[in-house]
Amino acid sequence: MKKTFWDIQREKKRAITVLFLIFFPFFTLALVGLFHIIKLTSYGLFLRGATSLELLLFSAGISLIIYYLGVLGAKRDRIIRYLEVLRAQKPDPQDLKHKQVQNVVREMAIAATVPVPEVYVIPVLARNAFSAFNIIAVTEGAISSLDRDELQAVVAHEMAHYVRGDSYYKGVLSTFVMAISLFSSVSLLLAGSNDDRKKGAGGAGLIVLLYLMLVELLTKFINSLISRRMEDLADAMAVQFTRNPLALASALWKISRDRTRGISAFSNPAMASLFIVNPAIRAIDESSGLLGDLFSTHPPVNKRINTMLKLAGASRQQLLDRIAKPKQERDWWVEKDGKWLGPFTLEELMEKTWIGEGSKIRGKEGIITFRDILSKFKQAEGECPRCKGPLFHTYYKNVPLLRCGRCGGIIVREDRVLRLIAREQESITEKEMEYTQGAIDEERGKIYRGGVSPGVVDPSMPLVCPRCGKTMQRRFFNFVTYTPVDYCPKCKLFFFDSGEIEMITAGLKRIDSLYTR
Amino acid sequence: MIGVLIILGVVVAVVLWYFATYNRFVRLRQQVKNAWAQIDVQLKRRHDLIPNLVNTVKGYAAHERETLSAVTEARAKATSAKTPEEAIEAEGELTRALRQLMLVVENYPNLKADQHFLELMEELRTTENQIAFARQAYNDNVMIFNTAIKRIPDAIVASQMRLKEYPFWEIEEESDREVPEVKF
Repeated sequence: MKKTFWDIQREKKRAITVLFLIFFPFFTLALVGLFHIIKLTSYGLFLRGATSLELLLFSAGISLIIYYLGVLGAKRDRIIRYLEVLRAQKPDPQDLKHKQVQNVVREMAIAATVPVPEVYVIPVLARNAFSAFNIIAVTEGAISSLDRDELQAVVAHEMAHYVRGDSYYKGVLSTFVMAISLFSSVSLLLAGSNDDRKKGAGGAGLIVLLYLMLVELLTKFINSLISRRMEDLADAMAVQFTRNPLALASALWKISRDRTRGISAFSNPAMASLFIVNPAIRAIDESSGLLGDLFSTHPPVNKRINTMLKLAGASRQQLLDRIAKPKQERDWWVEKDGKWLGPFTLEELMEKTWIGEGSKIRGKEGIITFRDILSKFKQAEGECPRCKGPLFHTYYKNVPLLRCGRCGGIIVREDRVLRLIAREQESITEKEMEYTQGAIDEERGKIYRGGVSPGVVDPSMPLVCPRCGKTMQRRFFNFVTYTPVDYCPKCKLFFFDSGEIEMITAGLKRIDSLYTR
Repeated sequence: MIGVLIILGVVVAVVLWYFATYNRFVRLRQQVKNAWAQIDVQLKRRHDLIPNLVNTVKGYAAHERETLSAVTEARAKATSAKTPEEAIEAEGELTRALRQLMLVVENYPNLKADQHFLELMEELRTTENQIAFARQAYNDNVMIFNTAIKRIPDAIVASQMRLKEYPFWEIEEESDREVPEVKF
């Protein structure tokens, strides 16, 4: 008979219980062994006259203390601080994609019959998600690359961890791993110290060191066994919640093929086991080799995908078909430097911020102007700081912003800027990349010739903030593309000249491609 | 002496088992009730959403009057339903009417570039999903509960507590299933 997700859940739950029952006696007995060795060697210390029972009680006491420290350490505040460092935000209700995340979380809370957890969005390109306590966090990269069903599957997996309280147990377990690592590094110091060697106790120190290294390996091994069962269980529970194993398979596929975009803050090893797929670059976790089998905190992604495919009764080809992008109606073209670029969908066309009043646009019904398209959107108060043109409420990849109807420049709130960059612009064509690269090189050239001030790159008159009327600051948006942008510190608004967003995204994409190669 | 201790141990074990089972049943029953309450909440949410939806779609596709009025009528029926049978029937009708509306709206490709429209569709979709998931969670919890109270020896505790099986929320027609089904 074929296994259902209920069967998998039962199996994994049992395995986790058994492993936990093994773990604590194992750890205590390992300590007893350690103290026995210390007692018998030349160290002796205060253990010299102790009986076996006393050693056992002493070890159990230490185990309890470590457990207690783990409980103390497993605090929600730590996760909140971590999210603050990553500049995570609550979902923006005006952003359709963010709203989708919030909705999906609510749906999954209903499917799991639990209170709705808190949701955070991390504004980074990496595709990943994690949960801890009553917090579920998803990266902007995941949001922009996963479709609704896939997002639902990822959230369902995190919801399963939340239902089971896995983050708490993982926190406690990792405290034990940290403790034993600490013991073995201390013994390494002792074994290597001069004082020791003079007394001729180097041999004893070496035995203690080797013993502790063995215990450390075993502890990590059991820890990873438990952690992996927890991931498998969460996958099976996610299927219970969504009844859509194929979506989880394709979500895992997409997330696992995006490791190179990881940022350093993500590789924080203490947090790694909380993510749906290990975020560390070159993680041994995903290989199914011997090392991966022994010490990884996550099961190999391929194995997880295969389990999901089996549950769905689907083939690998069906998975690939699902991932292949659906064909959309693309009947929009736009002229740039005498060449027609396209075809784009209307949404993709709106993502080209280099389009302005002068651009020639061709649709199904023939040539139309930029204003014709913008007339569908609501006009905003104020005028464009660059050209005094009218401003419209538009969207860039679902991120709300103001767009100038004349020059095509955009004004965007500071808390939405990172999102703008993180939403992948798949429609960037080779031609655009070429143009963009030319512009980046030109700007860099200006920097090398005349210092590094943003005013050198863009020597035009300072702009005036459309909201408060004060002079805006000119600064580099980052130190990759050296794009000079204008910023109003009072209203927290950025102004990008037309085409600058593409320059920044394309610049970052280029750096990405250096790593993915 | 040892005999007394053994008997005492067995008695303590039985009492502990009884308490544990009793508490587990209380928890499981609470989950079923909870899941049932969720369905109600979601249905109400859908009723509240519809006037807004109909008004917005009217602005874009006024000549789809028939579809729109079908939705409005189904909603009126659902909100005024008195018995659970009537409610289930009316909600089914509403679900079909809404699905028809979503299909009709697909014929307006220009709408797809409109952010307000997309937001509305997302709102509708999440409401439909929430109803489907609430129903699924209810059925899952009923299944777990019904299995648990029939297990030996736990069934003894269940009969003491006078627990009865809960009925499943059956889905009237196959096309009503929002979520893809799992093959066993």
